[in-house]
Amino acid sequence: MFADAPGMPRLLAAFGTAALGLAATYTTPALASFRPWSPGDPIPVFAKLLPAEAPRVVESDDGQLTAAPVEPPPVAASLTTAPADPLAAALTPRPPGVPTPLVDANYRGLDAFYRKLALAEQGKGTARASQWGDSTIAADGITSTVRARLQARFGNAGPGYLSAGMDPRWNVRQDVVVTPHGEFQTVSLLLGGGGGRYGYGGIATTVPAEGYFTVTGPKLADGSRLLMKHFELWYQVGPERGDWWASISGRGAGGGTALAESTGDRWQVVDDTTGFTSASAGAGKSGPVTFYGMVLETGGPGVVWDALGVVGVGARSFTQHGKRHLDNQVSHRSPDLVVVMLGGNELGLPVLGKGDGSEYIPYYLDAVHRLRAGAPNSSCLVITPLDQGTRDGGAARTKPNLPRAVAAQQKAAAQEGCAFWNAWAAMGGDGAIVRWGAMKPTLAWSDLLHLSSTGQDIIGQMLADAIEAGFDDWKKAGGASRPVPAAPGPAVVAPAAAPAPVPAPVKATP
Amino acid sequence: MLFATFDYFLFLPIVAIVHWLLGSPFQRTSWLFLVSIVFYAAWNPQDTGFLLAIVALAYAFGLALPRVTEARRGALVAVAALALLGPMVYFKYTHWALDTLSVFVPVTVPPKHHLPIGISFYSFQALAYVIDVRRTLGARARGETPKHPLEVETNPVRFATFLLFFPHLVAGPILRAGTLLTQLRASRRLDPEDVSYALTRLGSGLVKKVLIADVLRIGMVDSVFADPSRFGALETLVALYAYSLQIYCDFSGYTDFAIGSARLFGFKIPENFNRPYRATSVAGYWRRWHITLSDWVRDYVYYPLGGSRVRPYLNTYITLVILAVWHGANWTFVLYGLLHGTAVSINRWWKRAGHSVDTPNLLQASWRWALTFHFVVLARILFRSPDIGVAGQVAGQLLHGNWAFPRYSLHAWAVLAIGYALHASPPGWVERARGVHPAARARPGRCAHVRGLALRDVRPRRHPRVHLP
Repeated sequence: MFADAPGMPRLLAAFGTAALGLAATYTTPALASFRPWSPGDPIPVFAKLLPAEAPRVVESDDGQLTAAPVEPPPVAASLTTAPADPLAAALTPRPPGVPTPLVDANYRGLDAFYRKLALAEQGKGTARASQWGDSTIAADGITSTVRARLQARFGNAGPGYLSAGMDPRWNVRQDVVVTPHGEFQTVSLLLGGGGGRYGYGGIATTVPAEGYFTVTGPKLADGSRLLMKHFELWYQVGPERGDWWASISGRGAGGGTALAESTGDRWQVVDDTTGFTSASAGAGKSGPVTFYGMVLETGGPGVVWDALGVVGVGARSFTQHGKRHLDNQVSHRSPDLVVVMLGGNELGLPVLGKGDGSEYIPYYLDAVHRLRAGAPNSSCLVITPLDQGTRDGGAARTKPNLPRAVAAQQKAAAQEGCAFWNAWAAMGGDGAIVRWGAMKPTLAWSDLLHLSSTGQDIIGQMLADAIEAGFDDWKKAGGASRPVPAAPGPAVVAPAAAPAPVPAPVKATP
Repeated sequence: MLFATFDYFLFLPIVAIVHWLLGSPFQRTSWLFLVSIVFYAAWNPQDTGFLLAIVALAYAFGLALPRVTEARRGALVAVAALALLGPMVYFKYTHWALDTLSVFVPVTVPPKHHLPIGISFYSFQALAYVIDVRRTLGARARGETPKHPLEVETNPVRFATFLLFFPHLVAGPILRAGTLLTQLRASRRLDPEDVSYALTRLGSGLVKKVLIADVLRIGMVDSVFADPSRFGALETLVALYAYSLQIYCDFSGYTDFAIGSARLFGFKIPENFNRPYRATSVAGYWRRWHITLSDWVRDYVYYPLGGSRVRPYLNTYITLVILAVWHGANWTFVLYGLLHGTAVSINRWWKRAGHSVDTPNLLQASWRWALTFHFVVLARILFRSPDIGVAGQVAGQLLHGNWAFPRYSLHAWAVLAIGYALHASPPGWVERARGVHPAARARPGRCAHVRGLALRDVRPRRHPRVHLP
């Protein structure tokens, strides 16, 4: 035996050693995550010969071997969704998305926001929503669609809060044009370095002496620019800072020094009856100034939908904020609706790998509490991460922790009294990212993490569908004449200190 | 099935052990034929019939060639080219051609066809077999000694195994028929040194694919090409460096798997990459990158067109565009080929003008390396972008983006640095890692065989063959 294969003992020894290593992953609990196969998985080799899922691998245009689309499994079969909801039937089909209504028992989560929407619909006031998230939101793909949809119905109240300088590595906005002048230094929640102060959007930008940035407002359908009447500049004061200045449509909108003995936050607020289409802010010759952002609004009526995504962040990232600083920022903005769409960067957390993932709930709620502490009476909406895939050999599949994260977030929303929207189910649940990636034009990128702009638009449309349907249902149920439900959730669960008094904004009239 | 998977980890040793348990060469060849079918079916079962049809066609053309007169053999090869490459052209390029045509005239563009896996590889090898048989017969008819003599393979199982042999079936290297058929006809051995060498190559492939290529793809490359506008100039440049390393590790990782797997059955498969990013000229780069494909287009496209004797610059362009478009049906690949054609032509002109290309001067070699490397890296924008629009966006970010420090993870940075450090390491290190087992030196009887084998396989050629002008 093996007469012409004297190397066979060595081969057997090598593979035997490897087999022992593999066996160790089944006998040693600490190595469980290295198991290549688990009961219930397809049988190695043989399963690949079954024609059921073929084709599984295709050669892409650049010659790479990539996962091919798989047959869709039963949609969102493993989800803990609400019982069949009549609202779902009223939603517009947007294939390959699955119409998904909000889960909001007795309108507890969104009542306050719906009241503001109702007023805006009557031509009174501004309904402000602020949506925090990761790279899914940082590109303003989903939020730009929601903003456009709600502004088309309720009125365009402006672009809202914009992070200063709009560093495209961290956050972009699709409805405004930002022109920076100078070498800016940007810090964000992801990497830290901001001394606990990252502003409302999680990004702080230090503009060097004589540097400045200009934001040009949204373009309207007729080609003109939106006329805005409310301007705010959010900035930081502290040691080694210089003078700041601001202007709107070329007219002065204030200025002063950012030099102070201790670090703090300031706001310059200007209500301009003439109206403006662009705004600028910068540092004078005396030194750099750190800006958080600008608020550009029309004064209403209408809707403002802030997109506050920062690439790479998760729930834990919000601990980077100084508690008082974040409270003051949120309190100053005073959003009517706090939208939290986090978790996409946390699917590898060990807590999600344990049991049903419920240990993730306090972890996630900590971020929700931090964001809501400055606006305890605001409405609250929790949105799950979108589907994300991982490649297992040739086949791509949904990351195993994602269903657990979705279930945990749904429980967290219920505990907190927030409305809940299952974006994962809206995509089609298990394996959706692979199916969306196989569509032409593609709806998802090959990283199995991100949607293309077309895919983001579909999700944005579906979210807007769900909000509008929820609002219409709320109106049918009595609308503003309904008794105000208890404020959503525990609002401030953590025994945090009360927000520090917000320094009075500087009111100016150019 | 993919190489870097648990499935393959189970498949390979079982197949190898059974192979060496079988007694006769015919049994072993039949076993390899059978498992190669299983291996291919595990990718996409419905493509297996199509693959077998290509094998049958090439086999039939091979048998037919000696039976027709020399005057008709040319026509028969032309028919073979049509029959063997036609399906590949149809599956791979029809959609693209009609899509392009639809810009000028109203035509209905059908959806893209499903592309049978590995069709670009086995179609080329099948045609190369037919051409080599015809050249051998032609040379003998003229009373000449054929350059690459190849006998017609009459044993259908052996012939099918040559084309289907699973280590090289779906991702190369592209083998000349003589390379594998000769080894299939001869008796083979599996020495302990072969096992060590094979395991080293398999490990190397695994590291390249899983620990380098996949990490760089996810951590640096995909996001930049998904939305270039979100990344600054430096970030984009780093992503291009990462992509260049990623695609090298992807392709050469596959080659490592192929060479290592084949060695477990006693076969020696030629190298496909020779540290391409160390090249100091673009022509030199093509002598180090996807060597077997470069050989193929040189032997079956460039030389038949006239090589360097007739219209050398035009032939260079045609050859490099074909080489580029082989990778994918897209105008980005056409531009990629034209760009490289221009660079290789400049190389050629420079050399003809009397300038030395191979220079011992370290300073000159350094700037030539830097120029070549950055040309190759920047041209990769076209190779990776899904369309010319995205390529333009990426190039635009390089020109107009900010120069802020890239925000990639430390993990990705570390992999990028280690990957390039390994690529730049002295070849002797790798040779020692893979190389001649001390046991071989201790046994003179086997020493020459093993040492020759190791050196032939891994030592960079001091005077590389000219694959392209």
